[in-house]
Amino acid sequence: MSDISILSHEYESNSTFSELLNDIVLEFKRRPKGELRYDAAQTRKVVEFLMGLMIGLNRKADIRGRSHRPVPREVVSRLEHTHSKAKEYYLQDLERLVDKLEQRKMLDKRDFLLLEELCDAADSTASASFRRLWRR
Amino acid sequence: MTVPLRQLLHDLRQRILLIQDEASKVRVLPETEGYLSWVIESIENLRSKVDGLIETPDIEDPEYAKNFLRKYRQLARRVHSLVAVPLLVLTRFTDKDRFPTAVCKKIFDEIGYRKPPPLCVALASGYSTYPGFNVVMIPVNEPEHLLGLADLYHELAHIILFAEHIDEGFYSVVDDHYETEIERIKNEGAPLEYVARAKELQIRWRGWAKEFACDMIATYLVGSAYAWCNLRLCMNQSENMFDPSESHPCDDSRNEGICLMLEKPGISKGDDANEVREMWNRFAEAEGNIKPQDYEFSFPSRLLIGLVDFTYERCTELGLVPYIAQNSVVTDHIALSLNDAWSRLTFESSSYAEWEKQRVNELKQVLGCIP
Repeated sequence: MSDISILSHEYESNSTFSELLNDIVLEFKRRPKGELRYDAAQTRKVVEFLMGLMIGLNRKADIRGRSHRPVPREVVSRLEHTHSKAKEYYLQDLERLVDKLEQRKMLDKRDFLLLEELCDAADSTASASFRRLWRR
Repeated sequence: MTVPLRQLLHDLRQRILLIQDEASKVRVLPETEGYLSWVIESIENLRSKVDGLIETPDIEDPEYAKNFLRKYRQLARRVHSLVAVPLLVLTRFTDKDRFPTAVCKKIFDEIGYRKPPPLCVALASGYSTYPGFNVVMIPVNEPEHLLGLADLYHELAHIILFAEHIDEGFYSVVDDHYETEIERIKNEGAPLEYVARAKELQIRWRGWAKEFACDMIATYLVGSAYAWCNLRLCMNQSENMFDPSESHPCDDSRNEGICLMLEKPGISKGDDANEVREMWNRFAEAEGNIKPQDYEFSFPSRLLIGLVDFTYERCTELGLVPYIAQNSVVTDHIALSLNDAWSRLTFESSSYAEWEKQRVNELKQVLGCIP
């Protein structure tokens, strides 16, 4: 009956998502010079999260039979709010990023901005749920 | 300018060493031995991550500053959480906690759930769960009573929900319902305010999904004992049975979700659902709360039925044994004992207290909690 069970559950899910994503993005950014590709397993995870985000933003998103991982609802809500005035453009940007990752192309500054924005939303969500759980 | 991460990491490392020291002094009991090893391993793991970060040469590179700051914050939160739950539980675990912990272990056996059962400690003001740490907390005197212990099934459901990601499937049931509703509202040419209200409800239902799911799983596992336990809780604490909060749906809809699960095969022998509904209506009448006009729109029966069907299927897929199918041996079967308790309270209420005291002692003996 208590809120603690719900808050604790949410914090764990949000925190796990945030840690995983930030670690992968950091690895991508710190890729040794001369290395031409990102790690395949990590790339697949990011693609699946991006697909999960696209479905969260638009349930009719065209996922073309690709698998996806759920993104915490609060993360989706934060990004939905940020991009409320141009959601379609944001979805297009995400789709372009997914295509690039699937084709194992190198990411540019614009792509990393999108990933960092997702990391920020995930980290803010984890922090917010942590505060709700422990700092009331 | 970069943030002084390395200094903060040294501080964090020092805090971890103190926790490590505290954990090494914990009194080892058979119930906590495995858990303590896991905690010690988790602390060690955190320490090695912090050490790794301190040694990272490019930690102050502005290009990665934000990523490393996030990493530091994640570790700091983990350290705080380890102290707040596992270490607290291990340092405060007493002989009194052996019984509820043994009950949780027995319940996992009875329901056929094969993952490690949680530690259950009686040091809280209410029932609560920390699924990420496999810990359940219950009020101090609860191990001496049986009527409220059905709530343990709700808390264990939080652990199962977290481990098996059952709630994620709930969201599509909710989204399907509200998308159909929004289409219907638009097609009927109803005022656009209804579309906004449906969208708002869709978001709120996503928040309520976990509590509905835990009620339904608890009912699946312990039958009507959970319904009666919930009714008693609502009679004790409900402010208004039709008012939801952000995290909890309204009590009336939760009761109906429980009754719908009671009607599914293998959950109840008699007409428990209608008996609970009848009692609930009597409570509602006495309480006199007024049902809001848009109640059916906020808590639609169709959606509740969809969620019950979904939960029932997922429980079956996971191999969780529904209440009636659990092989009950009267001497130590927890679910049966709790149902028996509610039945005795109803039909032999004047002698109930004496019976409960004796039954709790029998269970403690059978579960090896009395030397």
